[in-house]
Amino acid sequence: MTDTYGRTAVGERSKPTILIADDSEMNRAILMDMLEEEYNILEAENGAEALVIMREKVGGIDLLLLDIVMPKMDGFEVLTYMNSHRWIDDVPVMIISSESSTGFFQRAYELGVVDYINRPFDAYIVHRRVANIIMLYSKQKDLVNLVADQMYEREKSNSMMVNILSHIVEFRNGESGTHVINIREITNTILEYLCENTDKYSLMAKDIKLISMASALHDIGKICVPSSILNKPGKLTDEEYEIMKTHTTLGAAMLMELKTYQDEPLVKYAYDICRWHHERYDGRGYPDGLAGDAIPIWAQVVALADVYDALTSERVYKKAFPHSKAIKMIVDGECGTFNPELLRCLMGVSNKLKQSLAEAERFQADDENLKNVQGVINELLLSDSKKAGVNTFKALAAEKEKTDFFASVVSEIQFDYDAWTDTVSISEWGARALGIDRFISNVHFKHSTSMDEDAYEKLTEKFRKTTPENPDVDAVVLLEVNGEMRWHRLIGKSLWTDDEDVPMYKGAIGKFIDIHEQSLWNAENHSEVGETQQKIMELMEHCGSVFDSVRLISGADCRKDDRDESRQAESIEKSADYAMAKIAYDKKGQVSKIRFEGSKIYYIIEKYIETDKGGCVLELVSSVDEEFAMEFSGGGEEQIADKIINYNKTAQTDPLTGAYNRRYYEENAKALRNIEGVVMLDLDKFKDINDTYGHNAGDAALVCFAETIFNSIRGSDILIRLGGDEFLILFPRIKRGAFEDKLDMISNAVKNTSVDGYPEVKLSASIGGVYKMHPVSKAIKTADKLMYDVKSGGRGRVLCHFEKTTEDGE
Amino acid sequence: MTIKECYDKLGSDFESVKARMMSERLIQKFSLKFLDDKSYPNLLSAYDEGRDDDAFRFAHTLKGVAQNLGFDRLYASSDKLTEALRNGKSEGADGLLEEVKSDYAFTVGIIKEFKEQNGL
Repeated sequence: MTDTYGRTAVGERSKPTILIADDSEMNRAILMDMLEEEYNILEAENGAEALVIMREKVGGIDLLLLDIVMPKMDGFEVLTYMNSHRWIDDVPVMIISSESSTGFFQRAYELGVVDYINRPFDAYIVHRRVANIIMLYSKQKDLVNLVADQMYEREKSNSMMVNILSHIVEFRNGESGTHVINIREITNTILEYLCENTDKYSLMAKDIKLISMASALHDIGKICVPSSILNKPGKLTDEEYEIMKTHTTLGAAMLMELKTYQDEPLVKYAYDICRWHHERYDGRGYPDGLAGDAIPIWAQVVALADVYDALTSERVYKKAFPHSKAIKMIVDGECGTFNPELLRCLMGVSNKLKQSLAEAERFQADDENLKNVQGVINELLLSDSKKAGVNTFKALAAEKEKTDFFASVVSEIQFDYDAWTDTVSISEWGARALGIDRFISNVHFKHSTSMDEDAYEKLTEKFRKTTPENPDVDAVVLLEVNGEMRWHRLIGKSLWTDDEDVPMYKGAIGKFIDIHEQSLWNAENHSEVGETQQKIMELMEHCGSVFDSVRLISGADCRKDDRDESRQAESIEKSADYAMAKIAYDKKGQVSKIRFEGSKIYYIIEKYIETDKGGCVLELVSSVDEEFAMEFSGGGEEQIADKIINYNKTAQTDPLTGAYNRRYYEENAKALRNIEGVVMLDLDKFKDINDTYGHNAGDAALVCFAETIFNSIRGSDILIRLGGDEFLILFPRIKRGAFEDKLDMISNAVKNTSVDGYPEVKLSASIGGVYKMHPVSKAIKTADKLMYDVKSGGRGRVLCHFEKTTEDGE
Repeated sequence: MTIKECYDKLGSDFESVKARMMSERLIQKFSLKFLDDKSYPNLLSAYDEGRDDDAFRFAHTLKGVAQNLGFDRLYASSDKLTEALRNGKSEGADGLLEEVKSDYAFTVGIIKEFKEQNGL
């Protein structure tokens, strides 16, 4: 559990937690018996394990009972590590010892040990000492947390005040998103100029910064003004105007309410600005009717900035005035009376304002400045060291929680190797799959993963070769998972310390991805399948640039999601649509559907892909963006769905002839099943038709050609225009005789047809047909060759090739 | 035989152990558990195989456990052995190991007797 600030809530645990690090199980058991009633006990049987547990439980260990003589890493080494990582400040350590030499204790105390327990254990003394230390430290921890909370609260309130309030106001005002930014810029510019040119107002650079920041809050009182008045397009009635005017006093009152921050200069400036940015130099403004320099100079400046920005921005009731016109209107007193000193400033910075106005138009949605507001406040309110300390702790705890969560939910073998302790921690699932503990020493890892020694050495070598600049490792190894030897791909990264001079190797993280199936394809079918595999990768790579999510789902039951080969946009975290994948798999084809999820629309394509070692389904998911949805707008979900499907069909159809296009073939080639007849055909002397009668005649001829073919083939046959006048016909399940008849029929029909509008044009086609040859790609090549044979042999004929099969008798 | 009688037989001061552990139950529980403790067999194999560092650690552990349970005889001999192994094997180590062996056999023998008599 975490509290509002993402920090692990220490107080929530009913019992404090003690970690006992002792290599003797007996000793641990005795201590545990003495302490378990009042404390949660964790055990470690050596120093390395203790460090791993501490690393896992960031901030969750209240006391470490540490034996000194231990295997792997002894107590002193643990203390050294805790010192170098500054854990010693957070986790009190008591040593368990039967040693009595002064040197021993001296060394231990120097390493930050707070107390010790002597053997033989005395239950009473153990109790007292443990209780004392934990109480002492928990008080200290509470104090630290208290301070941290306050710091955080302060930081939060201030940045939120500026960010959220000003945004809300803008939003309600229907002002452009840049109004607040503009006001800040203008205020800043005028103030800087003012201070450069007069000593009258003793404002320091720091004050200018604060005033500019506070200017963002000038209209927060408008939160309390009804939006019907705020956004009324027409003129306000007197009554409405009176209400509108209250935004000055209301805003100031809101700031007054922030009792804790009354002494912040930022809040003081903001109060003045809120209350008096509608006062006039001649005393005719509101709410207090202050005149002249009774109005604080910062409120005067913001008032001026507000008017200038209002004039140069477009509003519900007016267009934007150009810069020079706005300046003239202000100087001429058309928009209120201002301090003559400020008017001089305004003219002095006129060019600069003009420039920034132009820039603002270019970078409209630039919220960098608002970020700066927060940055400045952070700087002002937090001293660097405190901020770093507090935030690092929070960040660490939050990160930890995230990692833990992901590690617990993924079905992956993830590991985290810590060089200092020479230990490996493994994700929950991974540890189960490998049948090993989640935290084990590297040596143990080496022996228990049944990775053969060479492979292990190979991996180690790869990690050894990494550098801070080149930390990535990619390797393939055989791992025993759930009792089965399977090929895995290791993707890893070595970690280094931040030291600029000599970065130290801290350890490594990574994961093993099961690539067994893919590897087997490779292994069993060398080059050819290797190519297929690579092609799938390429295909996915390619699709990844177009679709939001690309997944490969393999296995006849379509339950396995080859997640790691998948590319996925972060916005789509949906699991694969296995049911649909199954349909695609079963029909060895492509299925697509639209999925509605809340206001979002996803277009999903499941596409069967055949590899030489079984089929799999490629899932492509694209979120349909609003623009697209708008284009198809009108109608309910189903209509949108229809329209999108049609859209897809359109993309695969040749608009001229109505035949499918090459894209259709490319996208469906693999899924085409039961194709028995393949025919390539083109128009004879098509170029001459174009040259003699023009392109319109050419197009008309193509339309006529396609129409004639359509009339001769069955509905289930597929006509594809490959390009130019070249067509391909695919005949699923057709008898040999029928196939021959079809080709003759097409040949004759083309000769007898006449082109619409061009009666003088005579058509004929060269046709190459291939029967029962597989795969289809080979049949197409053969048919293509036959077609060219016809062309070179005088055109206008049909040539056929019949593959010898046992069913030739039919 | 009660646990106290068992300790008397071992030549240990039951009352002081009881004062430390604050519970007879604990003393009995851990005495019986001691029969399964691995530090002694580990010590022997490490010693035999010449793994002196390990032998030192196991002797050290055995010493600590014996001390905690108030097995004074075994504690005394294992303490001496530990020191004889602390900086590599020193001359008297072999003899000290024999002492530990006999004290261990003596201690475990009595605890086993206690265990059997009480049907534990």
